[in-house]
Amino acid sequence: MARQRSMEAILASDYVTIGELVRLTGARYSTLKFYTEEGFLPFKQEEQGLTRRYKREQTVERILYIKSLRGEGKTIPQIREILEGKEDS
Amino acid sequence: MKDLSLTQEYLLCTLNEKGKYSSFDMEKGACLVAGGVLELLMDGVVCLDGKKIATTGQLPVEKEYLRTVYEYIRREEPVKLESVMEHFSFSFSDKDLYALMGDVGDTLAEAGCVQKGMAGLLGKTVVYLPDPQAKDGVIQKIRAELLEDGELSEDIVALTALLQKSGELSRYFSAYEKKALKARLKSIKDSCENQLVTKMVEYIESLFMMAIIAST
Repeated sequence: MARQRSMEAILASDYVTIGELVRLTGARYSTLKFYTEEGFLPFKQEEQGLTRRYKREQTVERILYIKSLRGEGKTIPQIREILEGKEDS
Repeated sequence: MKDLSLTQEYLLCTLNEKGKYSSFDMEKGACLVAGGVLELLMDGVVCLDGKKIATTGQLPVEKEYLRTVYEYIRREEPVKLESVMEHFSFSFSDKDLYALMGDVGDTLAEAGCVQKGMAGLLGKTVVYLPDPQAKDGVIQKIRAELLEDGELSEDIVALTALLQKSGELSRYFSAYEKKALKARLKSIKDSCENQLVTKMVEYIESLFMMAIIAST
């Protein structure tokens, strides 16, 4: 079992865990879990039951983007459409 | 979110909305001391040899808020872990426990996670009003590790064990989540993955038994 990574170490790494995303963005765990399950936040997982790893920069950017869309009053289905549109383009 | 240590996060989560922390609540106090000892152990400032604890070197500057715990160990070393806990938990005036709480509380105030103030009838009681957002950040972090699959960090396991022992988990987690957290902690304990945390939880348990026997 390892120690918790410092913010400095987190900011220097390419991949982060969901717990580290909570620390980086201030978003609630349940929110990030929901976004993950909705497919809004792509992740890497070597095997079932192992830690999910997210690309730090892209994921933080994505969370902030979703936050701004929520701020504009967009619903989850609308956000899904927007994100899918972005991926297609 | 700021990097907080185990002891700082534990204190932040146990302060009530009025910023008070009663030393009469023996479990909470004992867990604060246990948190301090665990943090020193995890950082290698002290070491555990069998049942006795001793310092390994100087107290790092950034751990100054644990000076009371460190100094007691240094003065008495090698000292039984139970003796450290007893010294802080069963002393007549609770002087050292209040000093530890004040030192940790002051660092939380510096980090902007609590607001230090005075309260009470005569306005002489020091209180640390917790910032709800800072407190929620710690709770979300526990959720994100313990309710997820995969690896765990020592710090989160230790913090959850302390919150469970001091009866604070119910304040923040639903019955469903608590069940999942307890199951996760039990599996860690059974797998001996982290003997340090397990040992500390056992010591806290035995200390509580001693307190119950003493009070009957």
